[in-house]
Amino acid sequence: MTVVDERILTRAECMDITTRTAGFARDGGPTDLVINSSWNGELRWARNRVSLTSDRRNIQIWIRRTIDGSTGQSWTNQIDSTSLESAVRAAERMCRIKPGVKVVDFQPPSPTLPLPKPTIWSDATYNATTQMRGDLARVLSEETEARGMLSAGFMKMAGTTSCSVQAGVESATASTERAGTKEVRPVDPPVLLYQTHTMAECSMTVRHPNGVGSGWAGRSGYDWAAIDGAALASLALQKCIDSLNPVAIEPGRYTVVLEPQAVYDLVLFLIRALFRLPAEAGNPPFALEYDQALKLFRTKLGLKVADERVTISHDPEDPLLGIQTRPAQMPVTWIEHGILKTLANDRPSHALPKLNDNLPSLWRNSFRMSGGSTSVPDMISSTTRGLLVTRLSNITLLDSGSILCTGLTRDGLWLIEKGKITKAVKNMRFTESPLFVLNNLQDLGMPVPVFSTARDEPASALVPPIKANDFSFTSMIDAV
Amino acid sequence: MRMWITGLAAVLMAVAVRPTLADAQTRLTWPPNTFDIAQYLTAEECLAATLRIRDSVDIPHSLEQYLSRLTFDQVVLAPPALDAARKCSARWTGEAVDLEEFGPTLTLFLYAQRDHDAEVLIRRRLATLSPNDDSTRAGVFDSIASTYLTVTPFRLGPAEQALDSFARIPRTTARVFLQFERLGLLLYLADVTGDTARARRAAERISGLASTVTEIEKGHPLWQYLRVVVYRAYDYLTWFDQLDSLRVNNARYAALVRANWMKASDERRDLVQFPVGEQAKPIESEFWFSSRAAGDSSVVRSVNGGTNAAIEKSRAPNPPRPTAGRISLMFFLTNCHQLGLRCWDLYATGKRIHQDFPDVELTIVTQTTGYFLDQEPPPPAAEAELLRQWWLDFHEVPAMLAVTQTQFWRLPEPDRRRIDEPVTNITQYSFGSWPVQSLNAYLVDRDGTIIHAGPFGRETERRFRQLLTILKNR
Repeated sequence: MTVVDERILTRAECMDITTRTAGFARDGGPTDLVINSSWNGELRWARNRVSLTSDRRNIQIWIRRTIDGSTGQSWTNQIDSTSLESAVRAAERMCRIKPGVKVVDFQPPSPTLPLPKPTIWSDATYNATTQMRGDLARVLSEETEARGMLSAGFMKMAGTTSCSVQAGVESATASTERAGTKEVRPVDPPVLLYQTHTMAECSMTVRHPNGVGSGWAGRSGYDWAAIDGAALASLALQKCIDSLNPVAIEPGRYTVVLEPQAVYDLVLFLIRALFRLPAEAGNPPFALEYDQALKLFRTKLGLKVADERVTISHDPEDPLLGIQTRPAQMPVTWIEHGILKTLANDRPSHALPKLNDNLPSLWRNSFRMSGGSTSVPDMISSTTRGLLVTRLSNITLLDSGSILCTGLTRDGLWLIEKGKITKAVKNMRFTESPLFVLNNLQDLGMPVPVFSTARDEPASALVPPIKANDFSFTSMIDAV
Repeated sequence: MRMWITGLAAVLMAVAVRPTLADAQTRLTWPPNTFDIAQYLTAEECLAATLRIRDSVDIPHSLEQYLSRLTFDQVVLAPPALDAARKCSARWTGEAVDLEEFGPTLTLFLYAQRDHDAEVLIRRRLATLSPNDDSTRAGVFDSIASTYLTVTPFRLGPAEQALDSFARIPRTTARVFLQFERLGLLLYLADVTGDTARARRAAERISGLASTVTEIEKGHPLWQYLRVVVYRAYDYLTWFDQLDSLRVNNARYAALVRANWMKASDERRDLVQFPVGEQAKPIESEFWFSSRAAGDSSVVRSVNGGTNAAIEKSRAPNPPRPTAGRISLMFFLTNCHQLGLRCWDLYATGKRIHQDFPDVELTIVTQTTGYFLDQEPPPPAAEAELLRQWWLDFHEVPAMLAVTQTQFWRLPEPDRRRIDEPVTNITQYSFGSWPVQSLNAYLVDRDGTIIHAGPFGRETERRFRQLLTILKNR
């Protein structure tokens, strides 16, 4: 059976591939499959002209055979029977080449873990056509061109299915049967874990032809209908115009108004540090002193690590976030009113009361951060002297113990004086920790969706703008 | 007609010789399965490749041995690893190799069984040393000794020579401590391989060295570990005296063994805590399971290991273990699912002991931990049942299984880490500097006296057999 019209495989088609592939297996043993099919519609433009438009489709099938403890694997992107059989044979040849390690310890059946049902499919994304993307790109670049600026941008709509299954597993409960003279144990029917999701993103940079100003705006998510391309284009253009002819100011500690994108860029490093095992091993930033009586390292779980207005959480079924899930992913609150509530495990921890406790969401590119009600203009008007930051880039982790990062401002940095934006400022390098920033908050705004830097996975975040004290800028840079 | 038959024959022949489409598939090619040594350019890379090959062969080999013959035999380097070491090291010679690569090259030569090149390399290295630079000389001799002791197969003779040279370097505390470690390893390997003369020399050297250790040096934290090395040396030197004493009675034997420990540790007679000679306390556990492999028809049904929150306690054996009037071996085991080969070693050795000493009572003593592999954390009864399936059903260890339900509490929310309370069996079988360690076995005589406590496996099997033979025939 060959996919002709559909861009991605349906559940029935995945099951058909599974059945045929498992049927080719010889010499017993389970067959593991991961079947991914994807469609990507992309458009890229630069200097106000479309430079690339593509419509890519791909199928990837990974097959692993296990025979008497030996494993072998192969890949194919063809779904006809001949190709599937060849891939199975290749995997089985690998089993014979590499001596396997027989299973010699007792292995009870793995528990069946619940799979969350996230909202990560959008018909608007899946139905977006190449023509539509081209028309939109023309609209986005027309105004920029009319204003004498250069725009470059990228938009993508994608649809993906992901299916994992294990076939040929001997039933633990059914009794053996006779097949001729041989006793065989029936196999359990394969259980498919099937997910579909869409991804959409649109980002645009506008620059002055002389390189004296730059503005950027972007959004990502799973639903193209929630992304207003025109609004993004207007915002990027306005930021470019406002950032023309920047002046240099002294580096130092400033009060900053971080737009949501900048907050996301920085807080991402905090989210990625929320691991339990390093803390239990005594590593900062979330470990405390060694408890001699209990002979373990205490952690900062239950202690205040951020401003009490900060709550960072994630729910895999949150319709506004939309992420691809795995079994046993449960809603998790990392920080609640500034108090550290959860640290993630990347493997089952033996000490917690429930298995699900061990595997909170690991998609740390997606999270929801609480906010307040102060708008960005209000934050600006209440600032005596500070900087307004659009976004941060090239961020590197300097010290994992304090989550100290360094990076650059980009695409719009403005000086605020006496409640007003007075001038555009040259970009600067910052050296700051999200932990310090979240403990030096003055104000928070309404959380809004931002552009996620994750690639090839649906991810998004809801992040507020913030105003914080004593944000450290350590040097100027010449890049615009 | 002829044309019809010819055509039919042609069709039949075509069908007969037509390969299957899958077999003729050329898009998927054979993966490379030859070892291309040309890609490894340094001795360090060659050594790493050799060790990878060794490990990839040794593990399945060990499993095959365990599953079929219940013995391990790993004192020789697997032929594929030997072949890899020889081919990869062929480009270097002892006379010409850069001395900057001394360490990995020496190791590689030994793995490739090019002992002559190794000796040449060592001579060249020693020739570069200043006679006044004691620190560097000590480091080089220590490296040489440890290399000879840790390669496969180890070379005890050259290691001993290197340690002799090391001993001639002026004494410092650090060097003395290093000597204890290396001599302790030499003693252990010589004992395991039956090289009694060399083992005795090593033990005597340790004994002599111990008499030079000052009181200040004995206050160093490292001495807590090194005094065990000294004890092992005394134990080795008096082993046959111990066996002779054991043939008479337990008290004389225990006194001799305890004297060795008191001499090594300087602990006062009235304060010494040591397992040998103590009375073995009864094992207290909530869950008991008998073993079909042991032919044990005495005790107990298995507990229903479902998710029933109510704990079902099974009937403990009567009389309690260790049974008075019987020789007992008790294995304290935890975390075997993480220790793999080391536990299989114990199972295999235990099965051999059971075959030759069927009257010896074997007991596995363990406790619940609140987890089992990747399962939902089971209640104690369910975890006990899983442990029974693991040890008694799957591995068929011929022992009774005693599972203690560990009492615990949890750190408050949101941490919730489990904190285990001390388990009675562990407390009662721990003595001062000799706590219960996983994979240790306790040998208990008919009158309940602990005769021996220590690691149990093929390397210590000979000792346990000697003790069991005496106890059985007494």
